[in-house]
Amino acid sequence: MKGPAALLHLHELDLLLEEACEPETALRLRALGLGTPDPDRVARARVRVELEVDRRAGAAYARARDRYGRGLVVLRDRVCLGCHVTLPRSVVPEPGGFSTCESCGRLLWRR
Amino acid sequence: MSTVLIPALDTPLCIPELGPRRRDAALLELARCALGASRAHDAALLHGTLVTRERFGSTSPGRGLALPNARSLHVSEPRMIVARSRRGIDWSAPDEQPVHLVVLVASPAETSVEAHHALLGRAYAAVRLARQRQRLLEAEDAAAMLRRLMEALA
Repeated sequence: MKGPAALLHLHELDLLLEEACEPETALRLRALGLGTPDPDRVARARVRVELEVDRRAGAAYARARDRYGRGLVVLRDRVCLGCHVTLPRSVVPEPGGFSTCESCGRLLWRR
Repeated sequence: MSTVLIPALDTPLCIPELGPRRRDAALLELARCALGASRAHDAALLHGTLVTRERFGSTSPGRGLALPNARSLHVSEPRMIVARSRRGIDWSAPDEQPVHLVVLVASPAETSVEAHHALLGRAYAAVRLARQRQRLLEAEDAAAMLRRLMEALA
């Protein structure tokens, strides 16, 4: 897995890691008869995927993640779903592509 | 395969018979159903997320049931899909029994963990009891499955 797909995969792993680390998760999932993903295993998988991500995109992702808790958000109808600013048409990527929000600095992904 | 499509959380999608017998292939069919025919690429990515989740622990609590679930960028609104497999699917369940009823819950990435778990809990409540599962397994078609599921969700 390389490039853009790796960045998406990294984000999905971060969502899973967030869930695995939340204190109430174990209790809620146990009530459903399910186990909790091991945070250490998810973190190790994350390290492997992070190596596949383009360095520049990875740095932008890490900065936004540190600042906002999420490094990547969806761009929908030219609107950054992180800060809800409408972006100019000139920075809107093709479907499946990435851009950076000029307002908040988050990486944007257009479905 | 016939599918009842109603695009809202309170009216989930029902698949009366899942074709694949393998878990990962079944997850692909579920992902395609969740996102629709026009979003095949996103469905492939959602499938990847679901498969990844399984690698960190089976989402089957046993008793012939599976609850695959994920929060994902590829999901724009909450989706619940209930699917049957008469032949059964190996889901690495703790009781080693094949899965005959699958309830997929997919939430947008921006959904909080708490809200996603609440949705998952609601889905589980509709199939937790053996008689609830039996009613779904015996329904004659997707429309009947949906009616019985809505009764269980109410």
